[in-house]
Amino acid sequence: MKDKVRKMKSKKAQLKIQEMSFMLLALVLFFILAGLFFLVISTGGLQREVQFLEKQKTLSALVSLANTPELSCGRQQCIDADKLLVISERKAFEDFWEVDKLVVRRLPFDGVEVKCNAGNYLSCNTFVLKDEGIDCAVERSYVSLCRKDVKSGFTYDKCELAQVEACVERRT
Amino acid sequence: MIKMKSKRGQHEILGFVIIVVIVAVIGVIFLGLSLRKPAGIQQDDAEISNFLSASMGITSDCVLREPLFAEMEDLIGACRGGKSCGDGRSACDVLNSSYEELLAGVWPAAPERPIKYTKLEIFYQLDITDPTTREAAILEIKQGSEELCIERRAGQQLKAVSPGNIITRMEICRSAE
Repeated sequence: MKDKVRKMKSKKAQLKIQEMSFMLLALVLFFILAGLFFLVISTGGLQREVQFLEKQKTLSALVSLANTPELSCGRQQCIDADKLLVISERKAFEDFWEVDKLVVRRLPFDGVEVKCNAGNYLSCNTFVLKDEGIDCAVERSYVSLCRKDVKSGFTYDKCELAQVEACVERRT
Repeated sequence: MIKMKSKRGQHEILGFVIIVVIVAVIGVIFLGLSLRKPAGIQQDDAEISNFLSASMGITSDCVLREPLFAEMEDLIGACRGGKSCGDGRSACDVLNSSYEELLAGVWPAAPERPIKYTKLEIFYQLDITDPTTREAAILEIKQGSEELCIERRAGQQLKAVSPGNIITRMEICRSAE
């Protein structure tokens, strides 16, 4: 009789231990799943953040390009249209820029590209500094494009909104 | 004896349920917080801030001081001071029409376009960290409709004007990309 009771008690204890181990296992699995879920969500945000920072970096690189002495009109984020015209007509400057394409467009742009030269300087909309004609990822930045104009005998800077477009070859 | 065991079992189950509920509530809070982030407005979009900054240097057709045409940056100050151009137009009117034209040309907003809505506002704020020191808007332009908005982005440009700041803020809204 005593043996029977002892055996039953031992079985019950085993069952309890089993129950507890299953519970622990379930809890650990639950926490692992919850952790994984949280990780997936937070890394998704990270990816967006990386893209955002990369865009910021490219934009600042373009602004720095506009601020180089070869292009700048003397103020921040401002390009001298006269310098631009001279540089765009000189082949020697093509290798100066470490990009595959560098274009400055007057805005608003209606989609019809009119390349600038000394003859159509005031009515054109696109200054092409470099264009290798390859497939590349274009990055854009806004600048003011200034040129000298004359009004009632006075010379002043006439500035318009423009966009610098630069790109480097796609590497797949 | 059996009743006591049953009660103990009930207590254990109740404890387990409470733990599961607490963990679930914490999970829901975390989930809510992490999902709320991307839905908010991206406040420091470089492209928009870059556009606003470049737009400040644009020459308008308003002469504030003969013989020079005023830049947008000067026009904002003139508008705030209630000044007029040499030809009698108010500086605020010129500022308004110039920015309306710019926005329509560069960020055209319409239901059939990717950009659904644009909002530009210029205002003076004494302390940039304290929104209660903000004055009434110098200029406010809204184009398009907010109804189809999905992704909002915003950028701003600050100009120190002693003792405060002139803040130019723009918000654009796109449909899903």
